[in-house]
Amino acid sequence: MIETKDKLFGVVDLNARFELTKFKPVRAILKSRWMPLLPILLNLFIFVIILLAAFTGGYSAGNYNFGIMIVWILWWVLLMMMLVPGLSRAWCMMCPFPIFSDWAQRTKLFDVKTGKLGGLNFKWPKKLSNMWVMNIAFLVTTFFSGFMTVMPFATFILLGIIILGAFIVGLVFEKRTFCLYLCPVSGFQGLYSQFATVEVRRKDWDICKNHNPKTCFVGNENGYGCPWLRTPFDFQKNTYCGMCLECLKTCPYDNMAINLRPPGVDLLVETKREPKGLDEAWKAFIMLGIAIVFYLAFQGPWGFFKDMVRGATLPGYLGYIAFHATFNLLIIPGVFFVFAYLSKRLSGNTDVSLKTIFTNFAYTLIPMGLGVWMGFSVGILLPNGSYILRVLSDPFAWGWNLFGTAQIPWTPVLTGVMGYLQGAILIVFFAFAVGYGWLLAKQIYADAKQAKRGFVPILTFLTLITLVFLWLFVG
Amino acid sequence: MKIKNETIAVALFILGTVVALVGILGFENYRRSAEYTAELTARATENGNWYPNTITIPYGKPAKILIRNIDVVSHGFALPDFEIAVQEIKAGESAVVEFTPDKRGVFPFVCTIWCSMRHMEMRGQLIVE
Amino acid sequence: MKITKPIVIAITLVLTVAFVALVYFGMTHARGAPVAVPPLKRATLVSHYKTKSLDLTQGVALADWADIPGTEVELVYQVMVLPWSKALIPAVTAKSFHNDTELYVYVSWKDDAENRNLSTGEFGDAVALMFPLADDVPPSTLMMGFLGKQGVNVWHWKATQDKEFWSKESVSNDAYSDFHYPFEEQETLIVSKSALQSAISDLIAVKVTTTTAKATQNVQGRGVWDASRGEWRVVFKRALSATNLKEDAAFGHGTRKLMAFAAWAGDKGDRGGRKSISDWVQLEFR
Repeated sequence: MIETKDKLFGVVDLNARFELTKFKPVRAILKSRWMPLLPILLNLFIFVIILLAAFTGGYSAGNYNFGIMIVWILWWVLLMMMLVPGLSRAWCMMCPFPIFSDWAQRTKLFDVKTGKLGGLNFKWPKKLSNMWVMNIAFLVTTFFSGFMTVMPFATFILLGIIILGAFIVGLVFEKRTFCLYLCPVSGFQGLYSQFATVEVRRKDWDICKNHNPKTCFVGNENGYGCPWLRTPFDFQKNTYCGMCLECLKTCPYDNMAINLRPPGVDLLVETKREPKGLDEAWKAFIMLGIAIVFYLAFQGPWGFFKDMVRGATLPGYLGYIAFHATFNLLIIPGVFFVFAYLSKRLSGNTDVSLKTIFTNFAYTLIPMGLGVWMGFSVGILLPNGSYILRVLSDPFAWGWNLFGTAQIPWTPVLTGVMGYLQGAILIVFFAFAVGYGWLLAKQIYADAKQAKRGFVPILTFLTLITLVFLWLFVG
Repeated sequence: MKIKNETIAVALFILGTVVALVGILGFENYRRSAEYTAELTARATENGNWYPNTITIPYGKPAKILIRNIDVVSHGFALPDFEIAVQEIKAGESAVVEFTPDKRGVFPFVCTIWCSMRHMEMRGQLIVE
Repeated sequence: MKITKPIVIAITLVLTVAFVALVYFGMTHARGAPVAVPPLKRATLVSHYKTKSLDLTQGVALADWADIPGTEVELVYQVMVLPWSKALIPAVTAKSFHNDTELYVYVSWKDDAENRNLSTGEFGDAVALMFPLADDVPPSTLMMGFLGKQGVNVWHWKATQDKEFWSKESVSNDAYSDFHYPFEEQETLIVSKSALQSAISDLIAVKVTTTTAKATQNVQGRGVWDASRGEWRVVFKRALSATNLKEDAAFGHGTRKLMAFAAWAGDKGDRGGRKSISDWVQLEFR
């Protein structure tokens, strides 16, 4: 852990940690090889149902389809509202998609295979060992969002490609290369998990320092060396930690811990091994841009735009793709660049590069984007949540009624106050963005005076974004 | 004899995938043949019309027909000769109609919602014999 | 087993092909079992050019229509707008001719009984023709709820009105309260009018419940019941050119026009929205 004297909002001690694994039963559960295998197997079963429902659902409306509802309403909302901001990459921990390649590489499902893993074990190119591929993969995936959220079969194709891709990449490349650098939903989880209130970290550096070989990295009879290619003994950021729990099993000294922590502390971390980068900055831009476009398309009042996203006409659809790509890859970063430039000019600092200012301040968009996405998720969940009760009872729309809830009518909940709820969430996360923005400004610039002046444009940008979304949410 | 964890894990894996798939499809197959007299798929004329277009049910015995709308628009079901109807079956929804046919013959059933340019052709036949 | 390059390539190929095949199957079966859909076949009613004209005061003579080929128009239950029909008149036979100034349409259909009177629970037989007022209308305009701004011109022949007009007989000796159907308020006004101008009500509508009598009644007509064959024969007659293009369907030699049919069997309880209806039929003036 990197010690920092800074306090968030002047009061929150960012060094505060509460170790969850200090409770023996918790550690025992996490060290068992059934964990996370059991949740993975459970999710595997759930995704078999999702895939079957998405396949049999064809092109029909998604409202009554288990696949669409569980993936795009329940899972997505859970991810954005609870899993990522609360539990970091807890989804990656229990994601069932890599189980096939894990099994192929390890030849064991439960037990530990020591020694070299199977598969071709190629190394992923260094140049691509960042978020760029995932940035593009996720953006391209959102090109099809208008179909995936209404056509069950489109969701089947997407999930099929991901599952097949994960398996084949797992055969060719080492360990969890797919999860690290290719999975479309991995990127934003990594980015936003920097804000999470939970982390996996080593406890005492002195223990690790003298421990050779470092079993958390190379593995032993109790578990595999970090499948996510981290160095658990010294990594500082949640970004690429898949929370697979192997290091808790492989550490003979129980020196790995799962901690509760103040949200967002990773935003200040910058080390040689885990530098702040343009790939993550662009991920933040893309996520913010997608949230804006999605809001306009799915919760906004503009029917013509919705038709474009749904591909009502080919030119309209191509127009959407062109706008969507340009907006996310160029316009948002471009606007932010202007504010970063103003920040440099106003600060009067000549030593720090514009790139550093641009990149580091982009991390304020992590809490900002998360707030926007949480607000958007509320806008999905409250109006459509009642469908989930239906599809649980009749997952394939075959006329089942497993839990007696198949006939529950569509019941929007709290939609009268939804806008205010979304607005409140947004304001809370705006506060985090500003709080961390200020701390980042102090990191970037030499002294408090420069930092104050240099922070003004960034504060303006964050305020503008917040006002735009407040206007969209509350009207 | 102690069962190895690895074996249990593999068994759970197979249970959650292959057994689940085969089980669900097999159960549904059985359920439909046991529970329903006939099954209808509702789709606009352009997409294939009522499928099957002719269904046969026995005279005098309670009939239970499963109607699945697998289309992207709402359809409805009306069997006017028996005054049986479901006014609207939304896209992706299914409905069940139950009645006891008290006359023999060939009876038309139709869609009750303007579903497409060829809505008027969205018709089928129920044979009671 | 060691995973080697050829094995990975083989697995990749097999799985990719299998997935593509699955997707192909899924796409071709996304709307259930594929069924070939025959193309739309719209019935055509040809209005032949003749030099004759008919005098309706002389009744409806089969001989006048013997040389004109008929078109069988299939009808279906009206089950889109409540109340739905419970009985079906499966088809009507339509014929048409025109001279330089007049259009004639003949409609006949089988019925179990002649119903020309009204009382509680007793309803009359009827038939109606509907013409869209706009030139190019999509088929969806058939539903009265989708007629758009211009609406339709409806020629509504009623056996009761026919009896009142031609025989000057009363068709009802008590209040026919049930006839005051929610959607027919406008129509009952015409029926209850004392001075009938025709056996046909010349109406306009822009959607369901808007059926309104036109200020000028331009359609004449007459129906006869053939008890031996259990058949109604009704003739409609109107000037070929429209009096008012906003209200009257426009016709002309060499033109085409969409039209639709509706028929009511009074003894089956048909009235108002309870009727049998056709799809659009192409009316061709040759």
